[in-house]
Amino acid sequence: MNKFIIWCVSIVTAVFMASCDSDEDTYSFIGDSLVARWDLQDSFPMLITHNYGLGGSGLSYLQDYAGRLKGDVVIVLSGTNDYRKITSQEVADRYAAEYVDALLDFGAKRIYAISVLPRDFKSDDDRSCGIIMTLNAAIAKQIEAAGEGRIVWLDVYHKFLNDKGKLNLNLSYDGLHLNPAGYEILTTELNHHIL
Amino acid sequence: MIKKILLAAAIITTSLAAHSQIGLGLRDSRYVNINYRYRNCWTAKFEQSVYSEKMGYQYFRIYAGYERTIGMFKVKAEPYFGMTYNNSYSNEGIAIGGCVTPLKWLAIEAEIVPHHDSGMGYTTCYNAGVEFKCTQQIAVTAALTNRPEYREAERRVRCGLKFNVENLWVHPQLSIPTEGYAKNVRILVGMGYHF
Repeated sequence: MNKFIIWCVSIVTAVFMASCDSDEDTYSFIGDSLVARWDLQDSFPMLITHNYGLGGSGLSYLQDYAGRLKGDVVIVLSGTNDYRKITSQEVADRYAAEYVDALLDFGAKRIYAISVLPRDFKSDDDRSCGIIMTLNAAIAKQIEAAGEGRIVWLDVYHKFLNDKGKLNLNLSYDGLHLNPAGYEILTTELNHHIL
Repeated sequence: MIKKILLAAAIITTSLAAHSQIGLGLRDSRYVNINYRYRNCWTAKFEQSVYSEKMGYQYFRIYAGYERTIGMFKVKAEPYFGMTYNNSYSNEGIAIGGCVTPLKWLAIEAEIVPHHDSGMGYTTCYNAGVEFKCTQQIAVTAALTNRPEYREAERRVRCGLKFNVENLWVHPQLSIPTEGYAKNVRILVGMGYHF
């Protein structure tokens, strides 16, 4: 028994000494309830992840994180709670400019922005998908204008649509929040880019 | 010479086989393992992840252990080392614990696990659980633990049913987080079969 304890302690000590702490990237996910409900460990079991999702949040929440995610790889999924504020193309353009500024202000090492997803929640009107498409186009344009590939735009909007151009309800619990099949699409898309 | 080597190998294999047991198992739905037990106290195990990721990001872990039963007490020590195939991270530790069976229908177990991850540093993990045997084949289990189910240590309550039929056991569990905004409940299955 004593020999075994000595053997165990020796092995563990040797392995501890051998494995130096690495400078591994930290992947910070920020956004609304779609992020907050995401089981990041289950989706990315081999990464160091932090979940900064907050239910009901929007652009102002992203702006609050200015300078607080320095050096991280940041993944953003936000905007669905702000879609009702988009009343015209001009408003969409202004929102997109502020959105991109907020992302750049994180101070992140790399940023992946996931497009705003379609929704079909019980309180939504028929125009929700059209407005979100306008918003996504404005954000994509603004990211391109920011240049130098500082933000990677992941347009997954169409992957969540059914034949009728509405949210595929097989990917959602309630027309807004995603089920595991919905998160699987996001995980696959992100894995293509971050691994 | 070759005959002597073959004869020696046959004798060693036969004598080992007389005291040994080989088993197959599954841990937390994501890790399959093959294990070997010698003289009912020495154990060795190789575990392989089945993440839906590229092969390089699959994880394997090697365990070696010793356990001993003294009356109603069982004590064990099990050092382990694991890493991904592309060496993106590694972790190691030692599970030191025991189990006491004061009544036929009740078992109490406790475990402390000094755990080190190359990217996340050191964590002291623990596991405290009880098992109520309803019948010879069925037991209700509950545990409080922060041992990583994937990579990060998260405090979780795990409750489930354990079914034992001859050489096979199956242990479906609900894993419920006790901290954090997102209450991501996981359904995990463990099982084992020994030959």
